[in-house]
Amino acid sequence: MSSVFPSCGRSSSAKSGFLLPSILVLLTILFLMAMTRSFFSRQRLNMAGHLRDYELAYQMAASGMTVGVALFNQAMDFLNNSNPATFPKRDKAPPAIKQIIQALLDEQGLPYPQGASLIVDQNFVNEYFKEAPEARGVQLTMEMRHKESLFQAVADPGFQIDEREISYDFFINTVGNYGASSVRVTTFFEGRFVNILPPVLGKFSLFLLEQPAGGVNLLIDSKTKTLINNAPLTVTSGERAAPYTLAPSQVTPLLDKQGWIFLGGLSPWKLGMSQGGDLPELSECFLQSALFLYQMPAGQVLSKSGVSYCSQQGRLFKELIEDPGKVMILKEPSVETTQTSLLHLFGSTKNPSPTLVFGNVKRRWMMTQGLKRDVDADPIIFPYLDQGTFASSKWPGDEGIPAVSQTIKQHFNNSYEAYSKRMSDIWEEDINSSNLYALKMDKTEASPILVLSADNLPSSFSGCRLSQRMQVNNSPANFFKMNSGSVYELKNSYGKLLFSGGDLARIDYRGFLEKKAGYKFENEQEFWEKIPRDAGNKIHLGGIILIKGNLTIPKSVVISATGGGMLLCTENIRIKAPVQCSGDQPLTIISLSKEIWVETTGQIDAALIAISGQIHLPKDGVINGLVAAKSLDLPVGSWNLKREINYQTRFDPTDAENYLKNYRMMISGKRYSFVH
Amino acid sequence: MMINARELSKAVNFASSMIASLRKIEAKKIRPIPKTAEGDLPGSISLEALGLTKMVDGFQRYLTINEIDNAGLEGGPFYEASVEIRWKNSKQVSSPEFNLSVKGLLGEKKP
Repeated sequence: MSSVFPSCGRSSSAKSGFLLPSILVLLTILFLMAMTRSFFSRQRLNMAGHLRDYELAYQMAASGMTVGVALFNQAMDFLNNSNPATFPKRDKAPPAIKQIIQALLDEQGLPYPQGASLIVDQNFVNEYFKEAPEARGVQLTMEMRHKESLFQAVADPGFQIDEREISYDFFINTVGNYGASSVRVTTFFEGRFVNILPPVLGKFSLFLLEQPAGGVNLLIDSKTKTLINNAPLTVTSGERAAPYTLAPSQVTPLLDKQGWIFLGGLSPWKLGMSQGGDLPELSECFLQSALFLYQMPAGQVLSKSGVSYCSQQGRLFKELIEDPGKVMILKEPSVETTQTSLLHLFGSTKNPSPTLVFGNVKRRWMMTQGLKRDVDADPIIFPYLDQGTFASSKWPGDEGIPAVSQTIKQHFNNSYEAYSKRMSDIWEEDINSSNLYALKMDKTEASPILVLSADNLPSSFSGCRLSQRMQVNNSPANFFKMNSGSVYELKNSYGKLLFSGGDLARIDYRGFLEKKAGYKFENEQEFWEKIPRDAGNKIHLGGIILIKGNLTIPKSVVISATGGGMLLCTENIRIKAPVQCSGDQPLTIISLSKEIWVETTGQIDAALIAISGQIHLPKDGVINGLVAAKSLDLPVGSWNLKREINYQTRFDPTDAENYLKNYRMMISGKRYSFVH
Repeated sequence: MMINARELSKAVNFASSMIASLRKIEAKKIRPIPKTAEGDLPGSISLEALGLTKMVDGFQRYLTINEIDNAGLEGGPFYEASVEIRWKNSKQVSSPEFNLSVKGLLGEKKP
């Protein structure tokens, strides 16, 4: 058998012509496949390399953000620190944050209202990454944008807006560069810049819109401490000043710096001055205690050598009318004659504290009058008598002896009108007259005057009678007279208006303060769970906090040295344990529409405000702050228990420097970050 | 080609996921540690605590944490976390060992 193929020569040539192209095509396909695979493999490798570079760039940016956030937090902590050693802020900033502080804050140490931005010159991260071969550095920038003013300018009377209270948007940007990749990480959050001092009310040690139920003179007073059936609330309003110690140059600075008192309502407040069982901490001060002698006019029955008229101021107490056989020098027993005020507005004999009172408020004290013979130790008292008793032969007390009463009547020519001018009685004067007794007067100035009056002051005091910070009905408040009106204007120590044209009696915090709140909690449980605490478990408020519902403080609370602020609560507040503040941090606790119960005898370092309701104070306890309420509830106290309000000037919004110290930047808890 | 792109991508992800997890945990749980294989990490930063799973076969992960100089910064301490991934090309019998190191700064979380 020959070959299967018919023509050997041609067929061999045709076979090789088919194979070669096939092999070439096959090789080409293989080559192309290899090239394609190589190409895609290289691409994948490139992509993987880019991914690596991108990841490293991201980690550089994220690390930059770690540093940026730390720097920002440090800058905000410094801004929010009210320690005087941190002022002026721009000068006192630590080196690490000096650039940030100087870029964000103006000369006053407050954030620029229009916002600001800066590139942070921080080599920290770059130094850290410099070992990485292809690292090309990290840029860190910060931006503060004005978002909105918290309050729009309004023409309504009342609170003046603080134009520095602004909501800001903050951006921290970092860009990490590695190899051919750049990654930007941005963190965005909101900041709310507010002042944490209670507006206007922070100036008042005690602010009450109404008198307590049953009136204020509910202290059945005595010369013996154990016979007192109640105890006062003693208010000290800042600095102490003993009687007759204030020089003319000291009057205005001191009284404008003190905490003030506002007592509102339609009925006049007539406060009986308290004897307080002769206890220095319970008896009221700023009265003349000396016996003043006046020469008798000649030609009267008792006008003899060695006999003078005499007068003496004194506090009220029940023995004035109760002691049998003693001189009965007062009117018939009544709340007005035997009971004294539960509110001691000018401190006590032990801690005299001048202040400025606003409202229709008077003080009542006893003017004991009679005659004094040089040979006797005690004076003969002219008792209070009505016209009928004067005409009768039955006078009370020792003067009831007919010969004595007859002699006195003859001395006054049987004229009741003449007698009534020299008889003992309760006198009433503007409560601010108390301040007159704090003035430093030498003997020649003071000795002729028993009852001091703003109108008979020595000329050296003529330039220090008026407040520079408060006007009432368009006139400066008088330190020594009644200041009652319906149009108030409050300025700070730099002359800036804080309250204008409104009536303090109609002041309303609701809405106004809620708008300032930067942190909000749905209920008290959430508040106690989330409120920041420092390593020592001290609470850090750091701004204005709104809590919906009731709030109970069940356990002792300590506010950290930089953690002051304002707690707003929509419902009732019960304080069952002491509240302390470290340093000079102001803590304000406000019930926006209900009441506050203080149910602890421990110390409360706080301003308590319930302008729509009552504040219930315990029978024993000290509040280092202030109390502002619609009305006050004071349970029956005891002479041996201390009940005090000690005003702290750290709450004073009219002290411009103090106000400046108490701005806080509240950073929102919500933070948004994105990578691009 | 000596290095495998897929494996490089995996290595990057393994490293970044560990640093991302470290950034999420509380700063007080971070402590300096010498270079430690992932299986030997202490409890507070163990794989379970970090929410991570073990490495796939062929990869090894090591973590080093160093406390660093704050350089005037408060709010620290700051830590340098360095994650090293080692692997070999699974498709080559005699592949050299590759490694990738990713590091990041750990610090406070607020605001």
